[in-house]
Amino acid sequence: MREQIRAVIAEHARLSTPIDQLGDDGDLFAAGMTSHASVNVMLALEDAFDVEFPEALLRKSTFETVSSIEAALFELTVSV
Amino acid sequence: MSEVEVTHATGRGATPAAGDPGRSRERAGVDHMVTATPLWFGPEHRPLFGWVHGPADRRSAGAVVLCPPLARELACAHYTYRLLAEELAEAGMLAIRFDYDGTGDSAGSERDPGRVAAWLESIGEAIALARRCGVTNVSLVGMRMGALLAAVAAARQGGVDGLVLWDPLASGRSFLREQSALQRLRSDLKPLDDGRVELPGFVYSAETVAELGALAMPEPARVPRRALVLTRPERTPLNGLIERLGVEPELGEAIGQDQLLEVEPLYHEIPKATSARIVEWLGKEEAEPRVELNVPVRDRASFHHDGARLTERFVWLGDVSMFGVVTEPEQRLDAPSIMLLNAGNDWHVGPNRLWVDVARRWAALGFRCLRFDESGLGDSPARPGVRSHVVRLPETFEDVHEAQDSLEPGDPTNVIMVGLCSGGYQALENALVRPARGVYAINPILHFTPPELAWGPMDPRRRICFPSSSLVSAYRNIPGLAPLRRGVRGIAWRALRLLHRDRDPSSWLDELRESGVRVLVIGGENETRPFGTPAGTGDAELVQIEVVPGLDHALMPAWHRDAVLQRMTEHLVEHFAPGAGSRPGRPSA
Repeated sequence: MREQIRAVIAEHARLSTPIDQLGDDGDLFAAGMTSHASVNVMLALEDAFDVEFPEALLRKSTFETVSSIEAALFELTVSV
Repeated sequence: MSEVEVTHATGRGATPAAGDPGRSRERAGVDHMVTATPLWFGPEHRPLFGWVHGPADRRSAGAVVLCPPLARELACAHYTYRLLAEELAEAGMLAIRFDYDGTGDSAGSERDPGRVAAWLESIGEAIALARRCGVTNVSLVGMRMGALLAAVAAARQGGVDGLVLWDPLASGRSFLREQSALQRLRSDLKPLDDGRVELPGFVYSAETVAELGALAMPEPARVPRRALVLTRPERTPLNGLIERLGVEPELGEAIGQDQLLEVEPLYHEIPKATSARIVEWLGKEEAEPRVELNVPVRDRASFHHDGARLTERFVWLGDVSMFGVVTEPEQRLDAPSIMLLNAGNDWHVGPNRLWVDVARRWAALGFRCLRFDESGLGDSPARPGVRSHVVRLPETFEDVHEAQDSLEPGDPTNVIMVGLCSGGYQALENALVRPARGVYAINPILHFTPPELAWGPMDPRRRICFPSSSLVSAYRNIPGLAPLRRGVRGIAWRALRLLHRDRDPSSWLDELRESGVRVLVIGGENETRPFGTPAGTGDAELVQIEVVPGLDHALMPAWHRDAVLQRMTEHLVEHFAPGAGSRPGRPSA
C-alpha cells in the first residue's frame, strides 16, 4: 500500500522535494504540496484504492504525510 | 463618464451604438479590430449580463456561446474567456460571453433557489441572443462545470452545431466533491451541518447541492453536429460523458489547465495553446454564408434587491475607456460615491463576487456604487504600450484618478474607495495623492515587489509600499526557515519599519487623518502587522485598524466575507449616511 501511495504522491502532489527524499512522516505540505495538489492526490487515491474519503477525513492532517494517508486508507479499506 | 448612448433594448436589432468604443488589440504586429459590446439580455426582471464580440465588419457565419465554469473557477477563467472571445471575433465569428443567473454581473445570487435550472436557462437565453444577432449556426464552448452544463443544454435544447467540452466534469457531484474538498483542505473548515456545502468563496444551499448531485449528462436526445473534447490525462475518467454525447468527438488534451485553475490567481497562466486549438476547430467548417450582425443594445437594467429597486448601467472611464458598472438606487442619498477596486487580477465583480454583493446592498441603502476594471484587467483594455493582466502597475494611480473624475466630476474627492489585497493598498496610496472621503482597506498588502522595478526605479508616488528585496525573497523562499519565520514576523516588521521610516504607517496615516480621510483597515494578524499600533495625532477615531484573528486573505470562507461586509456596512451607515452623528470634515481638494 505504501509504495502505491508514494507513486500517487509522486504523480500528483507536485512536491518541491522529491518524494523519495521524504520519510513516511515527512510533511507533504511543507514539501510544497498545495491545497489544489492535495485534492488531486485525494482523487487519485480514491481511484487507485477504489474508496471514497468521507467528510470526516477531509482535513489537512489526513493528507499531511505518507503515514497519515496510509492510516486513513487502512481505516477505509478495513471498514469496507 | 460616458455611457452607451442607446436607451433600453426593445428587441429591435441595432448595430453597436455610437459611443461604444469597441476594442482593438495589437498582436503579432498586426492590428486586429474587433467589436465588443456589453449588454443585458434575458428576462426583464432578472437580467443576465454578457458581452458580444464580433468581427469589425459586423458580419459572421457562426456564433459561439462561451459557457463559463462555476464558483472560484469562474474567476480563474474569466480573462481566458475574454481573450478566447476576442480571438474568435478576429477569426470572423460572433462570440458571446455571459454570466449565469446569480453569478458575475447578472441579477440574483448563488443562494437563490432553482440554481441548476436557472443556469441551463441562461445558456438557452445566450443561444437565443446569438440568433437575435442574426446568426443561425450556434456552437457552445464550456470549461469544467460550464462544459457539463453546455452538454446538458445541447442535449435538451438541440440545434447546436459544434460542442467543445474543455476539461469537462463528469457530473455535478464530482464538481461539488472536488471543490468542497478543496475548501476543507485549504482552510480546515468544519462542514456545515444544515445541508449547505461550502466551496472556495461560495456556499450552495442544500437544494442546489441536491440538484447538482443529480446533474449528469443525459441520454442524447438531440445531438450536436460535431464535438471536440479536451481532457487532462491525469484526471478522473469522464464516466460515460463522451459516450452519451451521441456523436463521435474529436479528442485532445486540455493543456495548461493546472496552471490556470490550480495556482494562486496572481500567478495563473493563460492556456493559449488550448484556446488556439478551439478557435481553429470552430473556424474550420464555416459553411454558412456570412450574415450582417445586429447586436441588440440594452445598457441598463433594473431589478429588486434587498427590497429596493436598483438600476445598473455601463460606464466607460478615462482615456482608455475602462469598463465599469454603476449601481444606483431610485432615491440616492446625499453621500459620497463608492468605488470598488480590483483585488489582484480578479475582475470587477470582486473577490468571490463580493463587490456585486456590496454594490447592491449599499445601493439599496441609498449609495451610488461603481465597480470597474483598471486598465488591462478584467474587461478593460490596457493603456497603449502597457502589458495586460499585470497587477499593481504604476498606471493604476491614473486609473483610479480617472475613475474618481468620471464618477464625481464636481468633486473627485467625494468618494469612498474600497479594496482588498492590492486594491486595499492602492486605495490607501491614491488617497495620499488625492484625498477621498474614506478608504476601506481589507487585508492590504504593503510589502511586495512593484512591477516597474523590472525595468527601472520605483514609481515616486508609492509612499506606503515596502519594496521586497532579493534578501527578503530568499528569506521567504528557503523551505527550512518556515518555522523560524513564523516566530519572528513581528520582529521582522519592526526592523523593516526602522529601515523605511519614511514609509512607516504612523506617518502616512497621520497625513490621511489631517486630510480628513476616514480610514478603516480590516485584516488578519499578518496583514495588519505592518500597521503596528499607530499612535496618531488629531482625530484618532478617523483611522481604525481592526484585526480579525484568522481572517483568510482572500475571504474564501463565507463567515469571513459576512463579517467584513457587516463591519464595513456598519461603518458606512454610521459615518457616511446623512444624519449620522459624526461626519468627517470635507477633505481639501
